[in-house]
Amino acid sequence: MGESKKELDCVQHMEALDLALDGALPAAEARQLEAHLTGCDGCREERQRLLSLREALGEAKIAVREGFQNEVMAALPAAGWQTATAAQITTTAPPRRAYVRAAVLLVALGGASTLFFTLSGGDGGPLGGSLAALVSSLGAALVAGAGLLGASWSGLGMAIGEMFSESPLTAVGLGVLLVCLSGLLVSMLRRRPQVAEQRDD
Amino acid sequence: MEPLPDEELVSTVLAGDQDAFGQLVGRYQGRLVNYLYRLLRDTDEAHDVAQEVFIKVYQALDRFDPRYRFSTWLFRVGQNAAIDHIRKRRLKLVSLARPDDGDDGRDWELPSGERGPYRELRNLERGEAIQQAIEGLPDEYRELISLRHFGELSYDDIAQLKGMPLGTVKNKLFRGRQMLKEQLADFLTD
Repeated sequence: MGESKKELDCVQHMEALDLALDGALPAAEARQLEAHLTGCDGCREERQRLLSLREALGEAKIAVREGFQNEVMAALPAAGWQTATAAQITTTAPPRRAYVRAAVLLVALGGASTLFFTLSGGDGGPLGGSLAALVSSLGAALVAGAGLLGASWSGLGMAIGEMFSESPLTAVGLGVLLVCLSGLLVSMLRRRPQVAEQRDD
Repeated sequence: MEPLPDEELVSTVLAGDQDAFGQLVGRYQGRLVNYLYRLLRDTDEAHDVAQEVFIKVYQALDRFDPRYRFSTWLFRVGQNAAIDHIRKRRLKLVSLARPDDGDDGRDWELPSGERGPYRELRNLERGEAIQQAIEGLPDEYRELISLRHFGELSYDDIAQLKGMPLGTVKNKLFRGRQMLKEQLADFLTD
């Protein structure tokens, strides 16, 4: 009965013994293990076998070939973070070329439709009618936009005039606020470019 | 003089001192080559892949996250490179094998016929017996044993690298060593 209890005790200490040899056993458990080892020949032999296994694994290591470090250093290319080209760098700035292309396309479309409508004597059929409608819509949108902008500026002018007449201090505060906001906007537009993501390996 | 921690060496390299990367190579070359050797079972290939790994890591150094250990990152890149290498090698061998070779997809793991599975363990030299015992381990145990004893990674590093709970790492390493101990019983001293 006492013998089987001892065996159970040894089995329970087996993993602790293994961890202890790797220095991965908490101090309190290590003390318990040492106490057990003091009175257990079997576990002391087991510890010796585990030590011998580690020694054997150490012997199985291969030597790094001579000059390997120099080979690696000589083979190092310019690092990715040193050679990032303009093409690899992405920014969040608006794509100006896209705006230009869109404007050119819009003008060309308007010109073509006007020409088509004129040449066909005012009756360009379904296609001419559609294009004419499109141009008319764009024209209307431009007029509406200009009107809104004009109204906004008028309103803004009136508001500023009102502020200057009643409280010059408020107008100065507004000016400071506008300068700060502009500074923030400029710093955001000029923020650091980000290199495109690459695989870790 | 106290050696600089890995993370500081990385910062030094990023600041323009390429020689600091040499220190990292010197620090890890033995561990990485031995770990790769356990996966690839070929000395030259282990060195070639290790060189490839160091170069990849160097090129991506600016993306190293200092919240993690450099060693864990290096060995993860190493592990991926070894898997890619084995895959290419297997494809090459399969394409060369005759259809009636009875290829079970494992011949690439034993590049040398000298380590045949039927050879008597007690007739082998100790080093070769160890080699065979490690190769005879199930993959999951062999990998952890390689990371611990050849890559010399800590239990925590292995847990992070493999995405396993620490307790699982400890238990698998214990069981792997028990298997090795049984296989190598004749070669271990009491």
